[in-house]
Amino acid sequence: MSEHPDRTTLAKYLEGEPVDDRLAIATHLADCADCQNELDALEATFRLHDNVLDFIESRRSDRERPLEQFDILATRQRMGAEAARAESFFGDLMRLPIEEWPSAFEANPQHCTEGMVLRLLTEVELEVKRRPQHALLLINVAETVTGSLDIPAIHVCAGDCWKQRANALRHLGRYAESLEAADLAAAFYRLLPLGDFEIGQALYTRAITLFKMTHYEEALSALQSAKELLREFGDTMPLAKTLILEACVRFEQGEIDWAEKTWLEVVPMLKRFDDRIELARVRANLAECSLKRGRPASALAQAQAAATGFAELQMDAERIRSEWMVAAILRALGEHDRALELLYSASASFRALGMTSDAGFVNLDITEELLRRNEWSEAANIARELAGLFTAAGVTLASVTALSYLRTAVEGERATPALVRYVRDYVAADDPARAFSAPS
Amino acid sequence: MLKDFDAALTDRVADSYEAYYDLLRFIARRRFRIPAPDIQPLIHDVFVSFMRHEKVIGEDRRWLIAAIGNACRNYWRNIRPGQQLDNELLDPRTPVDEVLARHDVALLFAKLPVACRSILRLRYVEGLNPREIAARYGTSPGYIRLKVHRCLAAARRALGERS
Repeated sequence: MSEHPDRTTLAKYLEGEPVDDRLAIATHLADCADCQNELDALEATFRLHDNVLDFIESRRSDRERPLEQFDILATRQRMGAEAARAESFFGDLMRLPIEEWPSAFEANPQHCTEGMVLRLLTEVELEVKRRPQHALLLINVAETVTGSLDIPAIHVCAGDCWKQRANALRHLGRYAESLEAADLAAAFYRLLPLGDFEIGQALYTRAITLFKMTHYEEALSALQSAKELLREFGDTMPLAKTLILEACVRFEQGEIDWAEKTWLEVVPMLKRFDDRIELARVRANLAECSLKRGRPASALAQAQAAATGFAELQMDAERIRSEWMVAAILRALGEHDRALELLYSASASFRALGMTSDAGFVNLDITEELLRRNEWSEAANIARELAGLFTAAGVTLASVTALSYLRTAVEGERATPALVRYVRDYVAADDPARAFSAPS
Repeated sequence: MLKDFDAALTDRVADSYEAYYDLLRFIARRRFRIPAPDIQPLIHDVFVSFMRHEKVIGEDRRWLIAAIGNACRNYWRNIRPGQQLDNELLDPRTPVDEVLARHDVALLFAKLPVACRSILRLRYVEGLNPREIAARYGTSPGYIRLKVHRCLAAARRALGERS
């Protein structure tokens, strides 16, 4: 056969259908790599639609019940029972000072289980923001229990302990140690039979610390690696959190479009997981994006949705911040009366929570708005409160000097909204090395 | 309430196990050429990991396929330390997307009459035109066009039933 057989002939040949000269085609295929490749490709496509089901069907009849040790439902039952025992023993532990927990485990070695480590680390997740130092103590106990486990549980639990330690150390501001802890978590996860999902989360943990350190490029690099690993697993909360953090970094770098697009991508995922806290946070972030991009109407809807979300979750501080943002957007929309009403409300709410620094910054906004209206007397009343609020928040003496300068200017009816913004920037920086000087 | 939630999660594991065990076995056997006796422990590891993470997983099938791929690649790394894996096995996206597509197409085709399966395969998998298909069946290209149209309508209906 001198000519190459066409695709149809090859297809017939492959399926055993009648062709003109079967032997000639076979001989040609032996000599012609192109045609052999074409035949291989055809074979692959022929199998496209039926090989999965063929395989499954052919094995269904001889599918044995899994051996006892590989029976996943039995494993599930075992894990459930272990978790229940851990919960019960955890209740006993809670009645003891944490310093006595290691001896409690020594006396009850039967409770040194993977379920116990998971229970301890659940407690760490609850405590890590509020009491990071206590969280570190809990992690130490979890690590002691981990030491008595077998492979691969010991690797996954050790990885989890180091990941949580990275979080606690970050909350304590011990960033270098936090990064080392995140790296150790990843190292343990690499020992797992399937650890990519966990490694992605360890990289995310590393990225949060880098973000806090404002090492944005390094954070983005870690997030990129995390994304590559996590995306393979479809929509998951770790992927959603990775994307959210990436958007935060981009936002800080001034890439507002990128940040907004990414946060929008995450919204359906958060709805799917019913993570209302993250959803409200993302909506607040989207409001800031819209405002920065000159779309106050869209920003208003997002900020109001965020405030409603935080209110439902009874997260007061976040709700007040979102309402403060609503006020800023209303000012941009020219609705000054409603804005001022919200600002007064936000200031009072922050003070009620003891958040004097935030109350002070809201009062600066109120002062600016009152100056715009030439309401000097009320502006002076507000300005007089500023030094007290910020002093209670512990700002430097230089910032207090700046606030006194502003108060005097307001009382003398010389202050302008621009001066308020100047003082606000100075107090926000609160840099003891930079003495206050009045604007020229 | 918590009990109900845990029960729902347990059912999810049981349902996923029933639905995807064979698919995972297919991937391990055919895609990664894992020896038969070693497949069951690998799948067990995958489901143990699934149970640890089920609350944060959105797409069970996709997660499980990615996890078995991860487990199979590590299996070969452990068996042959220091040896580079085939590029085909290293690209995580290929097996997931390829197997998901195959599985979906297979399930869809399985719902169609045999004649439709053959015609759609010739038309869209092999890329033959109606004239070439007609030549195979000894009929007219017009009849093949009509048949393709009807088979696509049947496929759409089957898709609708699935979703």
